[in-house]
Amino acid sequence: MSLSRNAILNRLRESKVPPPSVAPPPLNTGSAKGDDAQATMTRFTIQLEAAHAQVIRASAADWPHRLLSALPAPMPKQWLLSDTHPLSNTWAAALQHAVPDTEATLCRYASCVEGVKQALFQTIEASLTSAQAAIAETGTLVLEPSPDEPRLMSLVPPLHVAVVNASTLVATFTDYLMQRQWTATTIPTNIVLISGPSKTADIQQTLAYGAHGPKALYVVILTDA
Amino acid sequence: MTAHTSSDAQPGFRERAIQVLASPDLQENFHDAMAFLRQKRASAFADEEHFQRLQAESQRIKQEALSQLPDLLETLEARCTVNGIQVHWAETGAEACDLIRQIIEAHVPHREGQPIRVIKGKSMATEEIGLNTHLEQHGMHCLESDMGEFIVQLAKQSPSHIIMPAIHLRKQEIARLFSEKLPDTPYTEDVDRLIGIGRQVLREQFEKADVGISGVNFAIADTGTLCLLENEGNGRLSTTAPDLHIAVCGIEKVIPRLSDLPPLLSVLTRSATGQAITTYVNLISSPRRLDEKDGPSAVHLVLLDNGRSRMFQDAELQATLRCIRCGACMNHCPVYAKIGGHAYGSVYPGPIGQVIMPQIEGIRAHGEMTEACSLNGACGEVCPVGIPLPDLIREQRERRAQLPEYSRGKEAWIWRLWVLGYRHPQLYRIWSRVVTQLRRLSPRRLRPWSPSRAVPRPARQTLHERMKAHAAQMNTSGKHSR
Ligand code: SF4
Repeated sequence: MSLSRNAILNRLRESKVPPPSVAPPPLNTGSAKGDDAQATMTRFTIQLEAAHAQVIRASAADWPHRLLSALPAPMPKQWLLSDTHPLSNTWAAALQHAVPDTEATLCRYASCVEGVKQALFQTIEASLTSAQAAIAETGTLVLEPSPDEPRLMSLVPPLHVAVVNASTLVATFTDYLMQRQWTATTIPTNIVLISGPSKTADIQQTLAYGAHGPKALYVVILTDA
Repeated sequence: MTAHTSSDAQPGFRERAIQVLASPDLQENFHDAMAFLRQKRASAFADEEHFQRLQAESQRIKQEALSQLPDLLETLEARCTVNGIQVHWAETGAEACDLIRQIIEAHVPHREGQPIRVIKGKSMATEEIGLNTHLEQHGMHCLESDMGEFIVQLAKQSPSHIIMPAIHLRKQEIARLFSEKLPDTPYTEDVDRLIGIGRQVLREQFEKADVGISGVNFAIADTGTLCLLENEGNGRLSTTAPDLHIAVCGIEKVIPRLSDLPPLLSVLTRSATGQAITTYVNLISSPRRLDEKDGPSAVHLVLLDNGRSRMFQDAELQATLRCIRCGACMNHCPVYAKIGGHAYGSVYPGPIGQVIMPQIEGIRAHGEMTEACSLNGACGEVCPVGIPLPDLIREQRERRAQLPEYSRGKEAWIWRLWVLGYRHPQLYRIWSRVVTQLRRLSPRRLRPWSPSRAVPRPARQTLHERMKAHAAQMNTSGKHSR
């Protein structure tokens, strides 16, 4: 194995490659620096909606109510929620209040995936997670999965609700990376950028949603007012 | 199944191309798909200056990466290792296949009578090394999970395009395929329902799979991160749901810094499908940590050479290692749009295939396809990392012309005579005079030219004669007017 490693590296070291001749041009990262917060927010919303996501703006106080009325009928009943994140507690309470009796069946992601895998793939209809940042240029959510909100939560259920704070909105992906300054030791095990529901155009260039991941993506933007 | 070794036993490039040209349906499929992708790209780069800036920046980053390639690979290896990703190196496709099989066999407990289940995200590198065939020969069950790849696998074919693998099939053909090959599946031409059927089948497999195998779009050295782009979610599933994830990555995919990623991402998705970003961008830096609840418990990275370090040593061809596999060159190639991917008989078709396949599998196996080019230059213009494809294709032709079997052939003799004539003016004059005077004797049929084109007939006078006559006329008329 290390034989191949050495052989490859030796061959690479034997030959010289010219460094790039051009000096790095000042690349406009696409961020409209003059934009005010409002314009950036508008841009984010337009891009997300163009990608077939549903966008809901709400305050910290009324988001569960707004989300309830925005969700499609019939309301998904089998939800996968974090067992520790404060947002999921709020949402669980709202669901139980709104849906009569105990019809809403909540599954908490409390153990390792091996314990919930079957339900996750077969019966869960929806999930709710937070998103750690939002990128206006491309209408993108950034999720940094954690023990609180594991990786598969935002991926396997057919409907995914992501809740994001308006204050985390940045103009571009570059801005997000500059803000985080990740290094090899600080970077999360997994980061995923999400820009709409899952889709494919693999059959005769016809766009279809819900190829493998969520068929529907709801984005709740929490604003101060 | 998808491995293409040598084309000796099968029909050659020419025969395959002729087969496609005889099928109006296939040509229409390719024509429509290419027009669609070109239009998408054009609207993503409505501003030509925007494209040029992004192209310059992307070219610079990839060139910088190449100029430090061995060091970056070592950094990547070190950072990945610290984060728990196990790194392996493979010089050849066969070595990579063996390595991957051993990783799987060591990780997945043996179950009597039950094959190991492997699920794959889209990856050209694994197509290149024929991984599916290898694993299946060892009793494993491999399933492609990208919708296009899934369809192609079901049809027992190989991808015809590096971004859209099933581009050669119409929905009617896919409808028939599904209803014949998948249990309890009614015939439907409704694309949403077809995708729904695929989703259901693959979902069951994702739940059960033991191993997920993916490619890598960019390997980021400074953070030890693997970046994977996709729209469907199958890449995320393949790399998250099974307990073992193996990523196969060509050694040229490494880039220096995480901050290099945004421009490359942007130029890749716009060039490929006209999207500003793909639905999912996965950044994988570690297997499941102790406190985490999901994700693979082991992640392995296989760094694949398979001819790349040889290309690296070749001053002319080094630039091909900047390729980010966007597919724009094939989308803009008039020959590809006519004959489609299968005619090339290689994993990578179109202009980039014409340059790298002779490198990977030898100029004897794949030299013929270098002729399928009009040197119109479109591929070079759209390439987001500025690879001079037309020059490189010409270079490949030149190398092929030096093969002894080529230089003994009829075509080589015709060119030799041509060179002789054009080097010696006397010879040229005599020859052209003879041809014009014997023009009535020129053949009416000239295969393979004539069946679809008019046969050119020599003119009454040679160009020299006409120029002389013209000059004489100018002289006399000039005198008259004075
Ligand atoms: S050669 Fe250029 S245009 Fe062709 S696939 Fe590679 S990056 Fe894209």
